Amino acid sequence: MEFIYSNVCAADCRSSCRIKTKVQNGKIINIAGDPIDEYTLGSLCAKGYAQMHRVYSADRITHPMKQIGKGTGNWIYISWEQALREIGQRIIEIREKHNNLLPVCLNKYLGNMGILSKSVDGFFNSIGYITKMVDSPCVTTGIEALNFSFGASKKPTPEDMANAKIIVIWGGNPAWTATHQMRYVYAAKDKGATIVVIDPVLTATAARSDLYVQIKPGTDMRLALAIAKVLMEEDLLDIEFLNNYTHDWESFKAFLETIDLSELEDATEVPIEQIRNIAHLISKDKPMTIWLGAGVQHTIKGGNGFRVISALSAMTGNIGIAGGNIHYATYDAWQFAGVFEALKPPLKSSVEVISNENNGEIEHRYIGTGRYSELLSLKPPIELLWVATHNPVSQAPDSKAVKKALNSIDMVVVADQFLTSTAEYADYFLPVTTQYEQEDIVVSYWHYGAAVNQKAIDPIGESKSDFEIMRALAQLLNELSPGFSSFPVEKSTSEWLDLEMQPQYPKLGIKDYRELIEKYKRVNIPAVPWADKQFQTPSGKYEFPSVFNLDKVTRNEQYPFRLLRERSFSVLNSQFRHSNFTKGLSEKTSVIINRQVANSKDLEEGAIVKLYNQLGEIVLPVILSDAVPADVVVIHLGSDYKEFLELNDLIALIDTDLGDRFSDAKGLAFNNSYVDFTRA
Amino acid sequence: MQAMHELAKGSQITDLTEMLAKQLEKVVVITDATNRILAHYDPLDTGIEMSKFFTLKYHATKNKQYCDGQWETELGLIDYVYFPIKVEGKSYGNCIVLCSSEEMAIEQLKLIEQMSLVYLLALREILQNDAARERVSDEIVYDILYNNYDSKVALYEKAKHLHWDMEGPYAILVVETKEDKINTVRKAGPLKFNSSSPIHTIVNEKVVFILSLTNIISKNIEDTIDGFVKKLLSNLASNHIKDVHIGISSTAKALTDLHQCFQEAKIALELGKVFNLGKINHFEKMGFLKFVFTASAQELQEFEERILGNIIVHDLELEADLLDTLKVYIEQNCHIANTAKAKYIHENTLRNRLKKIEQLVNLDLSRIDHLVNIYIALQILALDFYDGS
Amino acid sequence: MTLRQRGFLFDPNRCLGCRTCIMACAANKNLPVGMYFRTIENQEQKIGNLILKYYLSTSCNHCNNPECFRLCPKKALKKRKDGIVLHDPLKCDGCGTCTRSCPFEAPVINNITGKMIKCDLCHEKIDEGKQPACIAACPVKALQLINIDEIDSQADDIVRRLPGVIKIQITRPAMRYKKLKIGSQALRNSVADNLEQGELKYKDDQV
Repeated sequence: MEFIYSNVCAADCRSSCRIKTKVQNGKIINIAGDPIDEYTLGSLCAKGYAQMHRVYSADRITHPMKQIGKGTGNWIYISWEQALREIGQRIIEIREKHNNLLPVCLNKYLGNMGILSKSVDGFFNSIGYITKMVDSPCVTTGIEALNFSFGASKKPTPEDMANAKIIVIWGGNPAWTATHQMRYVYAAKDKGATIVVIDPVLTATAARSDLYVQIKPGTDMRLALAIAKVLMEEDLLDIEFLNNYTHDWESFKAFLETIDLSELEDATEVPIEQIRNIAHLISKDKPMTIWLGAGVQHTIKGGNGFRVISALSAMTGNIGIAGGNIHYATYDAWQFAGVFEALKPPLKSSVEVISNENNGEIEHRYIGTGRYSELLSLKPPIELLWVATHNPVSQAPDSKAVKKALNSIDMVVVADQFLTSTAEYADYFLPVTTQYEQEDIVVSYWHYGAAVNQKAIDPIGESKSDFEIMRALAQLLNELSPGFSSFPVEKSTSEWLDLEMQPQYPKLGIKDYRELIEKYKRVNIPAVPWADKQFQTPSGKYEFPSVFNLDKVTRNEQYPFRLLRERSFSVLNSQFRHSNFTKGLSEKTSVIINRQVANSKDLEEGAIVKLYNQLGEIVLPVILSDAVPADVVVIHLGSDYKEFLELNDLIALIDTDLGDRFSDAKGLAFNNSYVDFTRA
Repeated sequence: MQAMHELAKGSQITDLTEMLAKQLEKVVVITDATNRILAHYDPLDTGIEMSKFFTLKYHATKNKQYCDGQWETELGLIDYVYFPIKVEGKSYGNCIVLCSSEEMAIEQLKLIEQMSLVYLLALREILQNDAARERVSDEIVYDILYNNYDSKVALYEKAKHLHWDMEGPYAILVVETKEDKINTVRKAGPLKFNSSSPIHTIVNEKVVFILSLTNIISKNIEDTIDGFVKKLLSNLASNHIKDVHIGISSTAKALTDLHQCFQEAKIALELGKVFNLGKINHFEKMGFLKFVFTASAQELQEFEERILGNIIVHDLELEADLLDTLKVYIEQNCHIANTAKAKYIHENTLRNRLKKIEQLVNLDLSRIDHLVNIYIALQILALDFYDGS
Repeated sequence: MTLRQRGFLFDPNRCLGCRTCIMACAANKNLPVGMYFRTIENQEQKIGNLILKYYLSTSCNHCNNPECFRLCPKKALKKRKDGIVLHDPLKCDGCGTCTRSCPFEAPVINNITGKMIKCDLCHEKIDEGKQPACIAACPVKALQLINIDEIDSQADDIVRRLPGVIKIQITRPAMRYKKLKIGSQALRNSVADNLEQGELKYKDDQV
């Protein structure tokens, strides 16, 4: 007998593809895209089709394990009872020793977009005030930039892109990171739209553009200023919008008058005629829309870069109209009830002596995500780290620092499906289910579709969902020390889901989330943001950036090459490393080098090189390409199965320019590394 | 009227022709749409020799029911009058009487006109029967040529059904000509070969003939096939078709090898066109090219890329002309002066280019063994850029 | 008998190189890990100041004159009336001749069964009126199923080969392409100019 279940991909991706899962005799025999999905039209991606194999992968860990000695590889299987008990006891000990739980640290991100995974946060909220590594490694800088400029980070619906006459894709590669969105880009193109791509590297997206502008990495703010200057000089402005809906255009205009186009040409290495060309292109026709990928805001001036780029939309009057605006990220679709966020520790813990007070409100100690060296300097120091839905050794900057921190933290617990690079430094490994093994809901932050993951199969082995783990741990803690956790252990998954979804029900037009199994629904968010031009800034208008630091950065002579990361088609960050199914798709993780540079260094295709900088080195083969300019080397994020080349060994922790006003720390400048290489 | 009766009774065209000829007291010849003689009768015992085809001297037939013509024979010029047997522009054949129209009485001409209608019916029926048979046969032949059958037994059953000679061996010919003439080529093929009827079909706008070589000694096979080709070409000439290309396979031992030979014949045909080797090409006689093309296409490609790859890349990147220079040099039999002239460059420029070429390919143009490799690689490249047109 | 030739129409102006087609096929056919019927090649060619870059998706081309078909010693291949070239695993002994003879490298040896496997144009799906897995899965419809016999007389943006792809056409592959169009590019040539004697001259970054 064949059963068909509705599922949805829970990976951190704009598409959140709905899936139809075929199960026979309790085993998944096939997965395919669900044609009911109006964004994907029933298509998946290369990684999506590999998911079935990932569920049953021989490398999946399905029983709890303990490592005797971090990094030794000396793992032994233990029971859940033992694992939770040992961890629980340690938590209790920490409270007894320090009179608070600040030495407990949680690092969690978005490896699982299912809303139930918020229960991990909820659990820690329910036991006391801990140290939390928070915010997004991905989008913080950009969100803050748009918050400053508009008062909130809003975006149009994905389909609105097809209404544009000009699409500018700046620092993004949707061909590989948002394949389904390309359908709308092409739809616009079929109607005569012009596609402009601005990127340091000739990516798969750039190769399909009508105009590709190769920019010197990290100079996006300057290019945007140059284009703005041309718009101003040649009066290619929407004066009505500027006068009525922007704040202090005069100051920005005055600043533009002081800058020199030829200096900007020099800085960005984009010729002045090309700068003028872009200015003409984006102003001669409306609507013009801008896709801002994550790339620009991962550079040190990326935040202001975003602000100036958004100013181009404002200056040309492309805000608040169909086919216009900026496509970046928004949290608008994630207005949940916050049932897990609302959990508070039991009353008696308020006698804790904590140094973490904020306006009289006790709260967690927040550290920006990825800042592992900071952990080392905390008082009281971290004694227990819980990592879930995240792989910081691979994803945080400066992998060595992360490993060092992990090594020095007494107890590290990693909840995951595979033995990731982070798990190698864990003391406990807790096996987690995939989206097919536990009911959950995913709401897409991109197209706002809400979908259910039905429980298609039983959890493999002894794996549990993050939610089940936290609930079990809460129960155990209360056994060991009654009243330790206020986590409502009696509630079932469906009760939690129903509660969390309450505010979304009216926006989805449903009464129960289970309706989503057979129906296609989207959270009701306006297709076009800012149509009423009521911006959420202090002035109520669009605000131009006012402070500009135009800096000269002296480059280290030793490391002349800029290291840029490109997302690969075969992995999603580090999540598909273990997929044998996609193994043959990409070549061994390699560094892509400009062909002429390689020739001048006598390096042939496939030659093994040592890529190094002050932080460390990695050894890998080269691929020769013309798509990469001479002073740049490119590595695809994610790497081979069992060959965990940590690209982030070479990436230092550097702040971007924005992020600590609306969040807890500045963003991470991943695209700011310099390296050199030589034959290994 | 009587003829109609006869036709209904099942008389053949030959009987009808005899009837008509006796009535007219003239020699009557009936041909089909490919000018093949279906029947003739000589009531006067003139002793005139007929070949297989009777080609009319083309006269524009307006609305006249008949036309005059002259037939050149060894005995001199013979007048004839012919009545096209056609309806709505589709020609089924001709009714020819060896006599000029002036010498014929009005009633006689009228009689022939009426007989034409009878012939029309008869020929149409023959054509329809042929078409039905061909449809059945074509399907089976396709399956054999493309190995599209499930069991050998089933295959042999089907072949028996078509009255094929089961023993083998066989040879395959593939004929290509202008698209609108393809059907004529098929119909005009010789009807007999080696005591059996050649099997014919059309695949992808080429006519395919399958010849049975039963009981022919190996050393005679080539001559026998050439005989068939000669006859075919002569038949086609009788239809004013001169521009044909023919590819001939090696010998297929059994029916189940035919698919391979089919491919060989096609290759011989294509190679003949690309390398200007003439109109008729035996796969086996293609000289060194036969060795070259029994290798797989992938090996050929790798060989060509290995030899010429550097030149091609060089030309692309620097927008240079080395490849063509090399081609012309070899075409001109490595003659410096002639090559320079053909390329409109100075001899010294040519010498520099040749030096550069030698560097890029790492070969010596004065060595025969190196030249051979280059020549073959160039031939393969020519094939690369050939796409059938 | 109407002879058709089913084949592929590939649009390099749409293909993203995302590899969805390869994986949809592999999942649909339950291929052994690491084996694929389809390949994507990253084609890059620098011509003066323009980089011709596109992705080429190829599987079996169901040729008119298939080399695999010609050279298979076990006669394990056949060509249907709709042009699809099919392989009979019962006749196959895994000699690999076909894998070496195909100019498109379509046949591969299944490392579990030891026999040849290759794309079969999802003929079972076609017979049911559905689309082959790769074509249905492509998010931007870069692949289409066509009748080669019908398309030849058509538009002048349909070509038989794409730039940089020198493949022998004597096998008459049932594959057609849309003509490649490349937009304008403004490349940072100054950097290459900075390459003096292998030493990369850099400037300070202005951010």
